[in-house]
Amino acid sequence: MFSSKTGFFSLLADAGPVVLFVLAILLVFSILSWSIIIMKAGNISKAISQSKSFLDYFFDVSNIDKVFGEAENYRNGSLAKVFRAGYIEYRALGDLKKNSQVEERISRAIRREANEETKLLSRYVPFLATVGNTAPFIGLFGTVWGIMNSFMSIGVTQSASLATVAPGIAEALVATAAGLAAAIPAVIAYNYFTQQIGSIERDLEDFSGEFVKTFVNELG
Amino acid sequence: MNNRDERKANKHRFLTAITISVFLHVLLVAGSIYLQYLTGMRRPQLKAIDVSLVSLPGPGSSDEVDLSGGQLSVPEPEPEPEFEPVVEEPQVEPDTQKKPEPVKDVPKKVPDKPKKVEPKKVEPKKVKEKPKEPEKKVRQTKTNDFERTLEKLRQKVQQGPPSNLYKRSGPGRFSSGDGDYGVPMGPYERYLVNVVTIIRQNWSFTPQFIREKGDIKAYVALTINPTGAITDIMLDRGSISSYFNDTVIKAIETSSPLPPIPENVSYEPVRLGLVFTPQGIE
Repeated sequence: MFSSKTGFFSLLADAGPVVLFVLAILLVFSILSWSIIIMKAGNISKAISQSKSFLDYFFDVSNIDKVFGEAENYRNGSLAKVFRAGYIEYRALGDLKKNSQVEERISRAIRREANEETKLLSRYVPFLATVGNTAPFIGLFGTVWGIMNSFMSIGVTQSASLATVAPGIAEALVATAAGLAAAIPAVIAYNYFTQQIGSIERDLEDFSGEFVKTFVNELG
Repeated sequence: MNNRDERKANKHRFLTAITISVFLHVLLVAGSIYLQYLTGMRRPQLKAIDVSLVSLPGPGSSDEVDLSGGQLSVPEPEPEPEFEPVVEEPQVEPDTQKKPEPVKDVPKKVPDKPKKVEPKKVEPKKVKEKPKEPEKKVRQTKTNDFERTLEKLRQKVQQGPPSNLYKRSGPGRFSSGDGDYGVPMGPYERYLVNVVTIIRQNWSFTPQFIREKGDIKAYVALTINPTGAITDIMLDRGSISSYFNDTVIKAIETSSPLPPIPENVSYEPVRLGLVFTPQGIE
């Protein structure tokens, strides 16, 4: 199958158990980080696009009941969720609408929902940072182990020819390559998602006050 | 209820994402395996070049080429000098125009066929009328001859040692440093045993590092000067394992200088052929 002796997989076939174990860990890391990347890419892009659409509708329509009805269509939009939480709290007040603590209760409900939404969006994202930070070191561990074996073989054969040393080092370097392959996409994705989640958080902070004002004006 | 639904939806999304991710990884691995397989398929061209161990010394082949070049000069013996003297040209030319030169190049093949050609005197006319045909024939015969010589060489290589250097009439295998019991050894054989013992002591290799399966034998020719210095080390026929070949060459190189050749053995340099196997030196 692996007729070319210089290929990646022919190197794998000759690798030791420690290197194989390291590669297995890195494979799991890579699979998990790509799963998170795929899931978060979908979640965050939906959250941003639906929030924008909801905001456009919110500023166009002054009636909060209509806005709430429309918010049901933006289930993944962060701002829509926060507005819904505020509206539910507003409706739950009932007879207490004349109370002075109304504003505080609505703003608390909105803050709670915004916090929940932020947590939801940033869930699993730190794992990307973990992969980005640790995968190169795990790969490096495999490499160091492989090179140690390679040098031991030099001692056994008592010859430091390229034919003796090179295969072992090549096998060992596969681990570093795998570590970098797992880490690079994870780091890129982590930076991107952190930046996107940060912008969503800022939107939530900015428009939470706007929503509270809308509900208070509705009372007045 | 909403939160529960969201959690369920998130779990479902995460599972879907894992499935997609696993699929992508499998696809990536399969693609890279396929690429490696493709690159492996393209390499046999190099193997054909390797076969051009054509210049290896054989019992009937040109020894001059062997002495001048090592293993690395193997691809040099281009087929041109061997195939230029095509058999058909000398058949025609000796009858019409006497040109002895091509006949000298191929002394073996000419005497067989002129006998058949002699009664047919019509052939020279055909050649003169159609000058292009010989070229085509030359190309065909070149390829055919090339294949034949390759097959012959392969057969020779498979049959036995590359040259007479490796045939021994003495005690034979250097299985022990003292020679076989009951066989009286001459000074030459004693010196050989001494040489082989020294080389074996300097030879270190681990059989575990030989990944290639099959018959591992390295035929090495070397010259021992009267002073004991080893020169003209030539890997007549290397084994499949390059690691094995390297260790053999190194062992010989580190063994130099050997003890000087005794006067009762030879005053001149001795050309010697050794066969290295994982079991020892023959």
